[in-house]
Amino acid sequence: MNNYSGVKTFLSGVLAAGFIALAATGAAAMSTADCVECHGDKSIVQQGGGYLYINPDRYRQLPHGDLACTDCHADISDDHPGGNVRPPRANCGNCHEQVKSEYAQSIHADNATCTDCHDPHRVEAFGAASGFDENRTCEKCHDWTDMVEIHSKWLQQTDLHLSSLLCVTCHTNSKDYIITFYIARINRGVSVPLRVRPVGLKTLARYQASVKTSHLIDLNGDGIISFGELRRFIRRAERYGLDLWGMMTPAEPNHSMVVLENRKDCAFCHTTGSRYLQTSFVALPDNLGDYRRIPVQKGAALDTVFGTPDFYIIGVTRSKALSIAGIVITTCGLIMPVVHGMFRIATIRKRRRARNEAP
Amino acid sequence: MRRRERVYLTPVPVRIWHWLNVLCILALCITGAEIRFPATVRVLGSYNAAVRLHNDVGVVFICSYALWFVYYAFIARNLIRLYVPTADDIRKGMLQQILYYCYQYFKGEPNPFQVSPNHKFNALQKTAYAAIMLVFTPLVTLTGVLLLDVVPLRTMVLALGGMRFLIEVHWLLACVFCAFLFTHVYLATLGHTPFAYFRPMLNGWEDVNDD
Repeated sequence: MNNYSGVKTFLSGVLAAGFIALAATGAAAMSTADCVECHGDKSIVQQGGGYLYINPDRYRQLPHGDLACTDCHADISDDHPGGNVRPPRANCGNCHEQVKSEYAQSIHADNATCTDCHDPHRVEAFGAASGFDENRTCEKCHDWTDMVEIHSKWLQQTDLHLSSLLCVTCHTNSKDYIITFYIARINRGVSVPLRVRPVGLKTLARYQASVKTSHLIDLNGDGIISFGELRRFIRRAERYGLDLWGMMTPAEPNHSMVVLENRKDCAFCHTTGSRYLQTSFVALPDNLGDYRRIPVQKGAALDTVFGTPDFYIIGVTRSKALSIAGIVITTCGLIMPVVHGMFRIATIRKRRRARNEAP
Repeated sequence: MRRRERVYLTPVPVRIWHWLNVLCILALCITGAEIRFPATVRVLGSYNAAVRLHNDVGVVFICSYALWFVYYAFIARNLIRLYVPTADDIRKGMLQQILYYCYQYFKGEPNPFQVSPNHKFNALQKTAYAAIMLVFTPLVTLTGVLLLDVVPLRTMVLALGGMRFLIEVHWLLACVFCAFLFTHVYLATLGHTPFAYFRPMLNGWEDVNDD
Protein backbone atom coordinates (compact mmCIF):
# COMPACT_ATOMS: atom_id res chain seq x y z
CA MET A 1 0.00 0.00 0.00
CA ASN A 2 2.84 2.34 0.92
CA ASN A 3 4.57 1.54 -2.30
CA TYR A 4 1.46 2.32 -4.28
CA SER A 5 1.15 5.67 -2.48
CA GLY A 6 4.72 6.44 -3.42
CA VAL A 7 3.99 5.70 -7.03
CA LYS A 8 0.82 7.77 -6.82
CA THR A 9 2.72 10.74 -5.44
CA PHE A 10 5.36 10.34 -8.09
CA LEU A 11 2.86 10.04 -10.92
CA SER A 12 0.83 12.96 -9.55
CA GLY A 13 3.97 15.04 -9.66
CA VAL A 14 4.65 13.91 -13.19
CA LEU A 15 1.02 14.60 -14.09
CA ALA A 16 1.24 18.11 -12.74
CA ALA A 17 4.39 18.67 -14.77
CA GLY A 18 2.60 17.17 -17.76
CA PHE A 19 -0.34 19.49 -17.38
CA ILE A 20 1.93 22.49 -17.27
CA ALA A 21 3.69 21.25 -20.39
CA LEU A 22 0.40 20.57 -22.17
CA ALA A 23 -0.94 23.96 -21.22
CA ALA A 24 2.19 25.56 -22.56
CA THR A 25 2.08 23.72 -25.88
CA GLY A 26 -1.67 23.57 -26.23
CA ALA A 27 -1.46 19.81 -27.08
CA ALA A 28 -4.64 17.77 -26.48
CA ALA A 29 -4.09 14.01 -27.15
CA MET A 30 -1.67 11.83 -25.21
CA SER A 31 1.16 10.52 -27.35
CA THR A 32 3.44 7.50 -26.87
CA ALA A 33 6.23 9.90 -26.00
CA ASP A 34 4.09 11.25 -23.18
CA CYS A 35 3.47 7.74 -21.85
CA VAL A 36 7.12 6.77 -22.13
CA GLU A 37 8.14 9.84 -20.23
CA CYS A 38 6.70 8.29 -17.08
CA HIS A 39 6.39 4.59 -17.86
CA GLY A 40 9.83 4.44 -19.41
CA ASP A 41 11.44 5.99 -16.37
CA LYS A 42 13.21 3.33 -14.32
CA SER A 43 12.76 5.29 -11.13
CA ILE A 44 9.18 3.93 -11.04
CA VAL A 45 10.66 0.56 -10.23
CA GLN A 46 12.57 1.89 -7.24
CA GLN A 47 9.34 3.41 -5.99
CA GLY A 48 7.58 0.04 -6.09
CA GLY A 49 5.83 0.47 -9.43
CA GLY A 50 7.72 -2.17 -11.29
CA TYR A 51 4.53 -3.34 -13.00
CA LEU A 52 4.14 0.15 -14.54
CA TYR A 53 7.63 0.21 -16.03
CA ILE A 54 8.04 -0.46 -19.74
CA ASN A 55 11.52 -0.63 -21.22
CA PRO A 56 11.06 1.52 -24.33
CA ASP A 57 14.11 0.10 -26.17
CA ARG A 58 12.99 -3.45 -25.63
CA TYR A 59 9.35 -2.71 -26.30
CA ARG A 60 10.16 -1.26 -29.71
CA GLN A 61 11.73 -4.57 -30.76
CA LEU A 62 8.80 -6.71 -29.63
CA PRO A 63 5.96 -7.72 -31.96
CA HIS A 64 3.78 -5.02 -30.36
CA GLY A 65 6.55 -2.46 -30.76
CA ASP A 66 4.93 -0.76 -33.75
CA LEU A 67 1.78 0.01 -31.81
CA ALA A 68 1.22 3.35 -30.12
CA CYS A 69 0.09 3.17 -26.49
CA THR A 70 -3.30 4.63 -27.43
CA ASP A 71 -3.83 1.89 -30.03
CA CYS A 72 -4.64 -0.41 -27.15
CA HIS A 73 -5.47 2.10 -24.40
CA ALA A 74 -7.71 4.16 -26.67
CA ASP A 75 -9.98 5.44 -23.95
CA ILE A 76 -7.23 6.83 -21.82
CA SER A 77 -8.04 10.27 -20.53
CA ASP A 78 -5.77 13.21 -21.09
CA ASP A 79 -6.04 13.60 -17.34
CA HIS A 80 -4.15 10.34 -16.79
CA PRO A 81 -2.75 9.69 -14.26
CA GLY A 82 -4.88 12.32 -12.56
CA GLY A 83 -7.99 11.42 -10.64
CA ASN A 84 -6.44 8.15 -9.53
CA VAL A 85 -8.38 6.36 -12.28
CA ARG A 86 -6.71 3.37 -13.82
CA PRO A 87 -6.76 3.41 -17.62
CA PRO A 88 -9.07 0.86 -19.20
CA ARG A 89 -7.44 -2.48 -19.95
CA ALA A 90 -6.61 -3.23 -23.54
CA ASN A 91 -8.94 -5.57 -25.36
CA CYS A 92 -6.62 -8.04 -27.06
CA GLY A 93 -9.53 -9.41 -29.06
CA ASN A 94 -9.73 -6.17 -31.03
CA CYS A 95 -6.72 -7.32 -33.03
CA HIS A 96 -6.47 -11.00 -32.15
CA GLU A 97 -10.05 -11.86 -33.03
CA GLN A 98 -9.37 -15.41 -34.19
CA VAL A 99 -7.26 -16.18 -31.14
CA LYS A 100 -9.97 -14.75 -28.91
CA SER A 101 -12.73 -16.91 -30.37
CA GLU A 102 -10.51 -20.00 -30.32
CA TYR A 103 -9.49 -19.36 -26.72
CA ALA A 104 -13.09 -18.64 -25.68
CA GLN A 105 -13.97 -22.25 -26.50
CA SER A 106 -11.09 -23.68 -24.50
CA ILE A 107 -11.18 -25.05 -20.96
CA HIS A 108 -8.87 -22.19 -20.00
CA ALA A 109 -11.24 -19.40 -20.98
CA ASP A 110 -13.04 -19.18 -17.64
CA ASN A 111 -9.85 -19.35 -15.63
CA ALA A 112 -7.34 -16.99 -17.19
CA THR A 113 -7.42 -13.86 -19.31
CA CYS A 114 -4.88 -13.06 -22.02
CA THR A 115 -2.76 -10.98 -19.65
CA ASP A 116 -2.63 -13.73 -17.03
CA CYS A 117 -0.33 -15.60 -19.39
CA HIS A 118 1.05 -12.85 -21.65
CA ASP A 119 2.38 -9.51 -20.44
CA PRO A 120 1.20 -7.31 -23.35
CA HIS A 121 4.19 -5.00 -22.87
CA ARG A 122 6.66 -7.87 -23.02
CA VAL A 123 4.81 -10.25 -25.28
CA GLU A 124 7.13 -12.09 -27.61
CA ALA A 125 6.62 -14.13 -30.69
CA PHE A 126 6.45 -17.86 -30.01
CA GLY A 127 9.98 -19.20 -30.12
CA ALA A 128 11.54 -16.10 -28.60
CA ALA A 129 11.93 -18.04 -25.37
CA SER A 130 13.57 -21.32 -24.50
CA GLY A 131 11.23 -24.27 -24.11
CA PHE A 132 11.93 -24.13 -20.39
CA ASP A 133 10.73 -20.51 -20.21
CA GLU A 134 7.69 -21.24 -22.38
CA ASN A 135 6.62 -23.82 -19.80
CA ARG A 136 7.26 -21.34 -16.98
CA THR A 137 4.26 -19.36 -18.28
CA CYS A 138 2.04 -22.36 -17.58
CA GLU A 139 3.70 -22.87 -14.21
CA LYS A 140 2.28 -19.56 -13.01
CA CYS A 141 -0.85 -21.58 -12.27
CA HIS A 142 0.12 -25.21 -12.83
CA ASP A 143 2.70 -26.16 -10.24
CA TRP A 144 5.41 -28.35 -11.75
CA THR A 145 5.38 -30.98 -8.99
CA ASP A 146 1.59 -31.24 -9.18
CA MET A 147 1.79 -31.65 -12.94
CA VAL A 148 4.37 -34.43 -12.62
CA GLU A 149 2.08 -36.21 -10.17
CA ILE A 150 -1.04 -35.80 -12.31
CA HIS A 151 0.65 -36.95 -15.51
CA SER A 152 2.38 -39.87 -13.79
CA LYS A 153 -1.01 -41.64 -13.61
CA TRP A 154 -0.59 -42.61 -17.23
CA LEU A 155 2.75 -41.23 -18.43
CA GLN A 156 5.87 -43.24 -17.67
CA GLN A 157 9.13 -41.49 -16.72
CA THR A 158 6.97 -38.42 -16.22
CA ASP A 159 9.49 -35.75 -15.33
CA LEU A 160 11.72 -36.78 -18.22
CA HIS A 161 8.75 -36.43 -20.59
CA LEU A 162 7.58 -33.12 -19.13
CA SER A 163 11.12 -31.74 -19.37
CA SER A 164 11.29 -32.68 -23.03
CA LEU A 165 7.91 -31.34 -24.10
CA LEU A 166 6.27 -27.97 -24.09
CA CYS A 167 2.91 -28.05 -22.31
CA VAL A 168 1.35 -26.76 -25.53
CA THR A 169 2.87 -29.64 -27.50
CA CYS A 170 0.15 -31.88 -26.10
CA HIS A 171 -2.41 -29.31 -24.99
CA THR A 172 -2.96 -27.62 -28.34
CA ASN A 173 -3.94 -29.37 -31.53
CA SER A 174 -0.92 -28.33 -33.55
CA LYS A 175 -0.64 -29.97 -36.93
CA ASP A 176 3.12 -30.21 -37.01
CA TYR A 177 5.98 -30.43 -34.55
CA ILE A 178 9.62 -29.43 -34.50
CA ILE A 179 12.60 -29.88 -32.20
CA THR A 180 14.00 -26.88 -30.38
CA PHE A 181 17.28 -27.11 -28.54
CA TYR A 182 18.56 -24.75 -25.91
CA ILE A 183 21.89 -24.66 -24.17
CA ALA A 184 21.84 -25.89 -20.59
CA ARG A 185 24.53 -26.37 -18.03
CA ILE A 186 25.47 -30.03 -17.73
CA ASN A 187 23.95 -31.42 -14.61
CA ARG A 188 25.49 -34.78 -13.99
CA GLY A 189 23.86 -35.00 -10.60
CA VAL A 190 20.56 -36.57 -9.77
CA SER A 191 17.67 -34.19 -9.31
CA VAL A 192 14.15 -35.50 -9.09
CA PRO A 193 11.99 -34.18 -10.63
CA LEU A 194 14.27 -33.30 -13.50
CA ARG A 195 14.53 -29.60 -14.40
CA VAL A 196 16.88 -28.51 -17.15
CA ARG A 197 17.40 -24.76 -16.92
CA PRO A 198 18.84 -22.84 -19.86
CA VAL A 199 22.03 -20.86 -19.37
CA GLY A 200 21.79 -17.11 -19.79
CA LEU A 201 23.68 -14.71 -21.98
CA LYS A 202 26.21 -13.88 -19.28
CA THR A 203 27.29 -17.51 -19.01
CA LEU A 204 27.51 -17.91 -22.77
CA ALA A 205 29.44 -14.66 -23.12
CA ARG A 206 32.19 -16.22 -21.02
CA TYR A 207 32.81 -18.68 -23.81
CA GLN A 208 32.19 -16.40 -26.75
CA ALA A 209 32.88 -12.90 -25.50
CA SER A 210 34.43 -11.44 -28.65
CA VAL A 211 31.78 -12.30 -31.22
CA LYS A 212 28.03 -12.90 -31.34
CA THR A 213 26.76 -15.67 -29.09
CA SER A 214 25.18 -17.40 -32.06
CA HIS A 215 28.69 -18.05 -33.40
CA LEU A 216 29.18 -20.42 -30.49
CA ILE A 217 27.25 -22.93 -32.61
CA ASP A 218 26.82 -21.31 -36.01
CA LEU A 219 30.57 -21.25 -36.55
CA ASN A 220 30.55 -19.73 -40.05
CA GLY A 221 27.83 -17.24 -39.14
CA ASP A 222 25.66 -18.07 -42.16
CA GLY A 223 22.50 -18.15 -40.05
CA ILE A 224 22.00 -21.91 -40.44
CA ILE A 225 23.48 -24.51 -38.13
CA SER A 226 24.72 -27.46 -40.11
CA PHE A 227 24.83 -30.96 -38.60
CA GLY A 228 28.62 -30.64 -38.64
CA GLU A 229 28.48 -27.43 -36.61
CA LEU A 230 26.01 -29.02 -34.22
CA ARG A 231 28.31 -32.03 -33.75
CA ARG A 232 31.33 -29.78 -33.18
CA PHE A 233 29.41 -27.75 -30.60
CA ILE A 234 28.31 -30.86 -28.72
CA ARG A 235 31.91 -32.11 -28.66
CA ARG A 236 33.19 -28.75 -27.37
CA ALA A 237 30.23 -28.15 -25.05
CA GLU A 238 31.30 -30.71 -22.51
CA ARG A 239 34.57 -28.84 -22.07
CA TYR A 240 32.54 -25.73 -21.29
CA GLY A 241 30.27 -27.66 -18.93
CA LEU A 242 27.37 -27.10 -21.34
CA ASP A 243 24.94 -29.39 -23.05
CA LEU A 244 22.12 -29.18 -25.59
CA TRP A 245 18.63 -29.99 -24.37
CA GLY A 246 16.03 -30.79 -27.00
CA MET A 247 12.29 -30.30 -26.66
CA MET A 248 9.45 -31.37 -28.93
CA THR A 249 7.63 -28.18 -29.82
CA PRO A 250 4.50 -27.39 -31.83
CA ALA A 251 5.44 -25.76 -35.12
CA GLU A 252 2.50 -23.35 -34.90
CA PRO A 253 0.97 -23.32 -31.45
CA ASN A 254 -2.55 -22.10 -31.00
CA HIS A 255 -4.82 -21.25 -28.11
CA SER A 256 -7.12 -24.28 -28.24
CA MET A 257 -5.83 -25.43 -24.80
CA VAL A 258 -7.36 -28.86 -24.91
CA VAL A 259 -6.83 -32.20 -23.24
CA LEU A 260 -6.29 -34.41 -26.26
CA GLU A 261 -6.91 -38.06 -25.49
CA ASN A 262 -4.86 -39.20 -28.48
CA ARG A 263 -1.75 -37.70 -26.85
CA LYS A 264 -2.14 -40.32 -24.13
CA ASP A 265 -1.50 -42.90 -26.83
CA CYS A 266 2.29 -43.11 -26.68
CA ALA A 267 2.30 -44.12 -30.34
CA PHE A 268 1.38 -40.54 -31.25
CA CYS A 269 4.98 -39.48 -30.67
CA HIS A 270 6.79 -42.80 -30.47
CA THR A 271 5.50 -44.16 -33.76
CA THR A 272 4.72 -41.20 -35.93
CA GLY A 273 7.16 -38.82 -34.30
CA SER A 274 9.87 -39.30 -36.90
CA ARG A 275 8.12 -37.12 -39.42
CA TYR A 276 8.17 -34.28 -36.90
CA LEU A 277 11.90 -34.45 -36.40
CA GLN A 278 12.89 -33.01 -39.73
CA THR A 279 12.89 -29.39 -38.59
CA SER A 280 15.01 -28.22 -35.68
CA PHE A 281 16.12 -24.94 -34.16
CA VAL A 282 18.61 -23.88 -31.52
CA ALA A 283 17.22 -21.12 -29.29
CA LEU A 284 19.99 -18.82 -28.06
CA PRO A 285 19.58 -15.92 -25.61
CA ASP A 286 20.00 -12.41 -26.99
CA ASN A 287 20.95 -9.18 -25.29
CA LEU A 288 17.29 -8.21 -24.78
CA GLY A 289 16.67 -11.17 -22.55
CA ASP A 290 14.76 -13.00 -25.26
CA TYR A 291 15.77 -15.96 -27.33
CA ARG A 292 16.46 -16.11 -31.03
CA ARG A 293 15.92 -19.31 -32.92
CA ILE A 294 18.62 -20.30 -35.36
CA PRO A 295 17.46 -22.93 -37.84
CA VAL A 296 19.33 -26.21 -38.03
CA GLN A 297 19.98 -27.78 -41.43
CA LYS A 298 16.85 -29.61 -42.64
CA GLY A 299 16.71 -33.28 -41.74
CA ALA A 300 16.59 -35.45 -38.66
CA ALA A 301 19.11 -33.61 -36.48
CA LEU A 302 18.64 -36.05 -33.62
CA ASP A 303 19.47 -39.00 -35.84
CA THR A 304 22.57 -37.26 -37.09
CA VAL A 305 23.77 -35.94 -33.78
CA PHE A 306 24.71 -38.95 -31.73
CA GLY A 307 26.06 -36.84 -28.91
CA THR A 308 22.82 -35.62 -27.31
CA PRO A 309 23.14 -38.00 -24.39
CA ASP A 310 19.83 -37.04 -22.80
CA PHE A 311 17.46 -36.81 -25.72
CA TYR A 312 16.09 -39.99 -27.20
CA ILE A 313 12.61 -40.86 -28.38
CA ILE A 314 12.29 -44.63 -28.22
CA GLY A 315 10.77 -46.05 -31.35
CA VAL A 316 11.85 -43.00 -33.34
CA THR A 317 15.49 -42.02 -32.89
CA ARG A 318 16.86 -45.53 -33.29
CA SER A 319 20.01 -46.04 -35.34
CA LYS A 320 19.15 -47.63 -38.69
CA ALA A 321 22.56 -49.27 -39.00
CA LEU A 322 22.34 -50.85 -35.55
CA SER A 323 18.75 -51.94 -36.20
CA ILE A 324 19.99 -53.84 -39.25
CA ALA A 325 22.96 -55.21 -37.29
CA GLY A 326 20.56 -56.51 -34.63
CA ILE A 327 18.32 -58.16 -37.20
CA VAL A 328 21.39 -59.79 -38.79
CA ILE A 329 22.52 -61.14 -35.38
CA THR A 330 19.02 -62.53 -34.74
CA THR A 331 18.88 -64.09 -38.21
CA CYS A 332 22.28 -65.72 -37.66
CA GLY A 333 20.68 -67.56 -34.75
CA LEU A 334 18.22 -69.05 -37.22
CA ILE A 335 20.80 -70.09 -39.79
CA MET A 336 22.32 -72.85 -37.69
CA PRO A 337 18.98 -74.59 -36.89
CA VAL A 338 17.80 -74.28 -40.50
CA VAL A 339 21.01 -75.61 -42.13
CA HIS A 340 21.59 -78.31 -39.49
CA GLY A 341 17.91 -79.28 -39.62
CA MET A 342 18.08 -79.78 -43.39
CA PHE A 343 21.08 -82.13 -43.07
CA ARG A 344 19.30 -83.84 -40.20
CA ILE A 345 16.24 -84.57 -42.32
CA ALA A 346 18.45 -85.75 -45.18
CA THR A 347 20.28 -88.24 -42.90
CA ILE A 348 17.33 -89.66 -40.95
CA ARG A 349 17.59 -93.16 -42.43
CA LYS A 350 21.34 -93.32 -42.14
CA ARG A 351 21.23 -92.32 -38.47
CA ARG A 352 18.44 -94.76 -37.66
CA ARG A 353 20.37 -97.59 -39.30
CA ALA A 354 23.54 -96.67 -37.42
CA ARG A 355 21.63 -96.61 -34.12
CA ASN A 356 20.07 -100.02 -34.75
CA GLU A 357 23.43 -101.52 -35.66
CA ALA A 358 25.11 -100.14 -32.56
CA PRO A 359 26.14 -102.85 -30.02
CA MET B 1 20.84 -101.28 -28.97
CA ARG B 2 22.20 -99.07 -26.18
CA ARG B 3 20.66 -99.39 -22.71
CA ARG B 4 19.49 -96.23 -21.04
CA GLU B 5 19.54 -95.22 -17.41
CA ARG B 6 17.54 -92.43 -15.76
CA VAL B 7 19.50 -89.71 -13.98
CA TYR B 8 18.01 -86.95 -11.80
CA LEU B 9 19.59 -83.97 -13.51
CA THR B 10 17.53 -80.84 -12.94
CA PRO B 11 16.38 -79.95 -9.42
CA VAL B 12 13.10 -78.09 -8.84
CA PRO B 13 14.58 -74.56 -8.32
CA VAL B 14 16.45 -74.84 -11.62
CA ARG B 15 13.32 -75.96 -13.45
CA ILE B 16 11.26 -73.12 -11.96
CA TRP B 17 13.97 -70.66 -12.95
CA HIS B 18 14.24 -72.11 -16.45
CA TRP B 19 10.54 -71.89 -17.33
CA LEU B 20 10.17 -68.51 -15.69
CA ASN B 21 13.09 -67.43 -17.82
CA VAL B 22 11.46 -68.84 -20.96
CA LEU B 23 8.31 -66.79 -20.35
CA CYS B 24 10.33 -63.69 -19.50
CA ILE B 25 12.62 -63.88 -22.53
CA LEU B 26 9.71 -64.51 -24.91
CA ALA B 27 7.76 -61.57 -23.46
CA LEU B 28 10.86 -59.35 -23.47
CA CYS B 29 11.68 -60.23 -27.09
CA ILE B 30 8.14 -59.56 -28.32
CA THR B 31 7.60 -56.34 -26.34
CA GLY B 32 11.16 -55.23 -27.10
CA ALA B 33 10.54 -55.62 -30.83
CA GLU B 34 7.34 -53.59 -30.48
CA ILE B 35 9.15 -50.86 -28.57
CA ARG B 36 11.94 -50.73 -31.15
CA PHE B 37 9.71 -50.93 -34.23
CA PRO B 38 6.31 -49.58 -33.12
CA ALA B 39 5.11 -48.97 -36.66
CA THR B 40 5.91 -52.51 -37.79
CA VAL B 41 5.48 -54.80 -34.77
CA ARG B 42 2.05 -54.49 -33.16
CA VAL B 43 1.39 -57.38 -30.83
CA LEU B 44 -0.02 -55.69 -27.74
CA GLY B 45 -1.67 -52.91 -29.69
CA SER B 46 -0.74 -50.19 -27.23
CA TYR B 47 2.75 -48.78 -27.03
CA ASN B 48 2.23 -47.88 -23.39
CA ALA B 49 1.25 -51.51 -22.62
CA ALA B 50 4.33 -52.79 -24.46
CA VAL B 51 6.66 -50.52 -22.47
CA ARG B 52 4.95 -51.32 -19.16
CA LEU B 53 5.01 -55.07 -19.79
CA HIS B 54 8.65 -54.91 -20.95
CA ASN B 55 9.62 -53.05 -17.76
CA ASP B 56 7.62 -55.32 -15.44
CA VAL B 57 8.82 -58.53 -17.07
CA GLY B 58 12.35 -57.12 -16.99
CA VAL B 59 12.10 -56.89 -13.21
CA VAL B 60 10.82 -60.50 -13.01
CA PHE B 61 13.72 -61.53 -15.28
CA ILE B 62 16.20 -59.92 -12.89
CA CYS B 63 14.61 -61.74 -9.93
CA SER B 64 14.74 -64.98 -11.89
CA TYR B 65 18.43 -64.40 -12.67
CA ALA B 66 19.07 -63.69 -8.98
CA LEU B 67 17.33 -66.98 -8.10
CA TRP B 68 19.57 -68.85 -10.56
CA PHE B 69 22.74 -67.16 -9.37
CA VAL B 70 22.01 -67.62 -5.66
CA TYR B 71 21.07 -71.28 -6.18
CA TYR B 72 24.18 -72.23 -8.13
CA ALA B 73 26.68 -69.93 -6.44
CA PHE B 74 25.61 -70.27 -2.79
CA ILE B 75 23.31 -73.28 -2.38
CA ALA B 76 24.51 -75.90 -4.89
CA ARG B 77 27.96 -74.25 -5.00
CA ASN B 78 28.76 -75.68 -8.42
CA LEU B 79 28.37 -72.56 -10.59
CA ILE B 80 31.99 -72.56 -11.74
CA ARG B 81 32.24 -76.32 -12.20
CA LEU B 82 29.04 -76.47 -14.25
CA TYR B 83 29.27 -73.28 -16.25
CA VAL B 84 32.88 -72.19 -16.64
CA PRO B 85 34.77 -74.17 -19.31
CA THR B 86 38.06 -75.70 -18.23
CA ALA B 87 41.29 -75.43 -20.21
CA ASP B 88 40.66 -79.00 -21.37
CA ASP B 89 37.15 -78.02 -22.53
CA ILE B 90 38.58 -75.20 -24.62
CA ARG B 91 41.52 -77.22 -25.97
CA LYS B 92 39.74 -80.48 -26.79
CA GLY B 93 36.11 -80.51 -25.74
CA MET B 94 34.86 -77.71 -27.96
CA LEU B 95 36.47 -79.12 -31.09
CA GLN B 96 35.13 -82.58 -30.22
CA GLN B 97 31.56 -81.23 -29.84
CA ILE B 98 31.75 -79.15 -33.02
CA LEU B 99 32.93 -82.25 -34.87
CA TYR B 100 30.06 -84.23 -33.38
CA TYR B 101 27.31 -81.70 -34.23
CA CYS B 102 28.63 -80.95 -37.71
CA TYR B 103 29.67 -84.45 -38.83
CA GLN B 104 29.39 -87.42 -36.46
CA TYR B 105 25.76 -86.67 -35.60
CA PHE B 106 24.72 -87.12 -39.23
CA LYS B 107 26.48 -90.49 -39.32
CA GLY B 108 24.43 -91.61 -36.34
CA GLU B 109 27.45 -91.79 -34.02
CA PRO B 110 26.89 -91.32 -30.28
CA ASN B 111 27.47 -88.00 -28.52
CA PRO B 112 31.04 -88.06 -27.12
CA PHE B 113 29.80 -86.19 -24.03
CA GLN B 114 28.10 -88.19 -21.31
CA VAL B 115 25.84 -86.18 -19.04
CA SER B 116 25.90 -86.57 -15.23
CA PRO B 117 24.56 -84.41 -12.38
CA ASN B 118 28.03 -82.97 -11.87
CA HIS B 119 28.75 -82.54 -15.58
CA LYS B 120 25.49 -81.41 -17.08
CA PHE B 121 26.90 -79.47 -20.00
CA ASN B 122 29.36 -80.30 -22.74
CA ALA B 123 32.21 -77.92 -23.57
CA LEU B 124 30.19 -76.02 -26.18
CA GLN B 125 27.19 -75.66 -23.89
CA LYS B 126 29.42 -74.50 -21.03
CA THR B 127 31.00 -71.81 -23.19
CA ALA B 128 27.67 -70.62 -24.57
CA TYR B 129 25.95 -70.64 -21.16
CA ALA B 130 28.90 -68.93 -19.49
CA ALA B 131 28.78 -66.17 -22.11
CA ILE B 132 25.00 -65.83 -21.86
CA MET B 133 24.60 -66.15 -18.10
CA LEU B 134 27.78 -64.52 -16.84
CA VAL B 135 28.39 -61.83 -19.50
CA PHE B 136 25.35 -61.04 -21.65
CA THR B 137 22.66 -61.36 -18.97
CA PRO B 138 24.41 -59.01 -16.50
CA LEU B 139 25.03 -56.52 -19.33
CA VAL B 140 21.48 -56.60 -20.71
CA THR B 141 20.19 -56.37 -17.14
CA LEU B 142 22.41 -53.42 -16.28
CA THR B 143 21.46 -51.45 -19.41
CA GLY B 144 17.80 -52.35 -18.87
CA VAL B 145 17.82 -51.20 -15.24
CA LEU B 146 19.42 -47.90 -16.21
CA LEU B 147 16.71 -47.31 -18.82
CA LEU B 148 13.90 -48.34 -16.48
CA ASP B 149 13.70 -44.86 -15.00
CA VAL B 150 16.29 -42.56 -16.46
CA VAL B 151 16.04 -39.55 -14.18
CA PRO B 152 17.03 -41.01 -10.79
CA LEU B 153 19.84 -42.96 -12.47
CA ARG B 154 20.85 -40.11 -14.75
CA THR B 155 24.38 -39.79 -13.37
CA MET B 156 25.15 -43.37 -14.30
CA VAL B 157 23.30 -43.13 -17.63
CA LEU B 158 25.42 -40.15 -18.66
CA ALA B 159 28.64 -41.66 -17.28
CA LEU B 160 28.06 -44.75 -19.43
CA GLY B 161 27.54 -42.77 -22.62
CA GLY B 162 23.97 -41.50 -22.47
CA MET B 163 20.55 -42.88 -23.30
CA ARG B 164 21.14 -43.47 -26.95
CA PHE B 165 24.31 -45.50 -26.39
CA LEU B 166 22.68 -47.61 -23.68
CA ILE B 167 19.56 -48.23 -25.75
CA GLU B 168 21.59 -49.40 -28.74
CA VAL B 169 23.77 -51.66 -26.56
CA HIS B 170 20.62 -53.05 -24.91
CA TRP B 171 19.14 -53.72 -28.36
CA LEU B 172 22.22 -55.53 -29.67
CA LEU B 173 22.52 -57.65 -26.51
CA ALA B 174 18.83 -58.53 -26.79
CA CYS B 175 19.42 -59.64 -30.37
CA VAL B 176 22.24 -61.92 -29.17
CA PHE B 177 19.76 -63.41 -26.69
CA CYS B 178 17.23 -63.92 -29.44
CA ALA B 179 19.82 -65.61 -31.69
CA PHE B 180 20.90 -67.83 -28.79
CA LEU B 181 17.27 -68.76 -28.13
CA PHE B 182 16.78 -70.20 -31.63
CA THR B 183 19.98 -72.26 -31.45
CA HIS B 184 19.32 -73.33 -27.86
CA VAL B 185 15.82 -74.63 -28.62
CA TYR B 186 17.03 -76.41 -31.75
CA LEU B 187 19.97 -78.11 -29.99
CA ALA B 188 17.53 -79.28 -27.32
CA THR B 189 15.89 -81.45 -29.97
CA LEU B 190 19.10 -83.35 -30.73
CA GLY B 191 18.65 -86.00 -28.02
CA HIS B 192 17.89 -89.66 -28.75
CA THR B 193 14.32 -88.46 -29.35
CA PRO B 194 13.39 -84.86 -30.26
CA PHE B 195 11.93 -84.32 -26.77
CA ALA B 196 14.52 -86.25 -24.75
CA TYR B 197 16.27 -83.09 -23.58
CA PHE B 198 13.01 -81.30 -22.79
CA ARG B 199 11.93 -83.96 -20.30
CA PRO B 200 14.54 -83.14 -17.61
CA MET B 201 13.29 -79.56 -17.69
CA LEU B 202 9.77 -80.86 -16.91
CA ASN B 203 10.32 -83.70 -14.42
CA GLY B 204 14.03 -83.43 -13.66
CA TRP B 205 14.99 -86.88 -15.05
CA GLU B 206 17.04 -87.58 -18.17
CA ASP B 207 17.74 -90.87 -19.95
CA VAL B 208 21.47 -91.38 -20.43
CA ASN B 209 23.40 -94.17 -22.18
CA ASP B 210 24.37 -96.92 -19.81
CA ASP B 211 27.88 -97.45 -21.14
